Amino acid sequence: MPDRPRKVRTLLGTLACLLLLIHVAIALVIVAWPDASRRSRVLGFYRRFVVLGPFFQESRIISTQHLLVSQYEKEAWSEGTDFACLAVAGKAGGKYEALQRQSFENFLADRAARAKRRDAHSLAVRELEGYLRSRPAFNRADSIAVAFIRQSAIGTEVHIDTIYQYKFKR
Amino acid sequence: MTGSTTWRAYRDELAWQILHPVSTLVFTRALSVVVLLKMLWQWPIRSEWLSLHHWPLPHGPLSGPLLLPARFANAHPHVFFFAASLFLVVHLAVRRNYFTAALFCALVFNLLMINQPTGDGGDVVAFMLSVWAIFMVPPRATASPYAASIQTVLYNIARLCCCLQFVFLYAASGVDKLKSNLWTTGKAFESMRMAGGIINPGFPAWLATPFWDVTLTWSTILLEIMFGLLIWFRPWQPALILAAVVFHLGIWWMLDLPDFALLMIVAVMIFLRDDQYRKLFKPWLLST
Repeated sequence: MPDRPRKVRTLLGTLACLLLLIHVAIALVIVAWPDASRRSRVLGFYRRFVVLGPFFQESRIISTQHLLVSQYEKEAWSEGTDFACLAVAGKAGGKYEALQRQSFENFLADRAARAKRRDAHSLAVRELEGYLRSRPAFNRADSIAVAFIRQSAIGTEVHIDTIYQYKFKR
Repeated sequence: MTGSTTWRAYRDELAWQILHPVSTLVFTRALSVVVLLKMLWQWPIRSEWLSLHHWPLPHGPLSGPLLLPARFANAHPHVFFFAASLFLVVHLAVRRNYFTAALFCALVFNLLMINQPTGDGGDVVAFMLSVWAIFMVPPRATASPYAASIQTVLYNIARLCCCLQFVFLYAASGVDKLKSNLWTTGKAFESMRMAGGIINPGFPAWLATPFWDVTLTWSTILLEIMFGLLIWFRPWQPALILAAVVFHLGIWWMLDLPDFALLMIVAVMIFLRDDQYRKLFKPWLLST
């Protein structure tokens, strides 16, 4: 039966074309109507893994979070400073590590913000405090105060919301 | 060409021979190199965090064993990164096969999970590309005709899905920007500057003017929308690939995201056809 492998290839080729057409059709639905992904599991899967993005969405580029830290040293509080942001701005080149550290600090602070509503001594809060205690910049501090803020901008107008602030002993 | 002839041509193209093996091989190798580079960049800082932060990882019947390396990384970060680097070097050195390609995908998934807190979209993109790359293994000469048929079709579908992944990503971002008043009015970059912490402080001030804001915004939107429509036509391919590379180098410069930019540049290389590769690199690399 020399024709058999040929038939198999033809069948597989047809099947592949049909699957690709369905794949493209579903993805285009998500591209045009991203909210449709809430209606079914298949569309949800496509939204999460196939139609990646959109990146740089409006909601994500108009607001940033900052962890302001001040330390109590020699009987005075220093001014609240976003040290990670300062490190990013201060680096002449190779800001990658500074940017990563900034993201990690904001991640810890954000988790602590969510956890604080339920439990002031949660693992998330302890991790944030542990991280700040481990930073050499605060070695000589007696106490540390943190303020987690959200800075939003529409055009030239800037709004600042304080998400939480508290002090702890170093 | 009638509709049925075109359909038959596409069907036969998918079923009869693997498409652009040189381009696909370069893509899969480059993907492994980018993952290795990113891991080496992140090794010191990730190790510090992994020891400071307890990573809550799922314990499902599938995710449990799959995420064992991530759990191990949480306890012994340096050992994990060393072993993963070693594996990537071996993966790059051996002939492509399903087993190591699947292991590579599992590693990228574990890296995605431990990078989650600070990861960018690039981690998910790398994971999805590594999923498709599992099937980009050419059939061996000794394979039976049936096995070779299945492998050829899987290879070609995976290659096309990689291209589509890139196209969908651009299309989703382009359509989203078109729906956003902030983007279409060209004020997005100004808002990023005002919000602080997004734009690279070293980005030149002369490029931060309303003229450049509008020009860069609309160039981005046009590229993201038109790429998916025109990349399938041969005459447009070199210009669009070059534009995408320049675009991602621009993002690297403006937002200081080297890993994301490198990954996207590797991803766009899959659109290069073998004949274009030969034309581009023959004088330097492929000459005998």
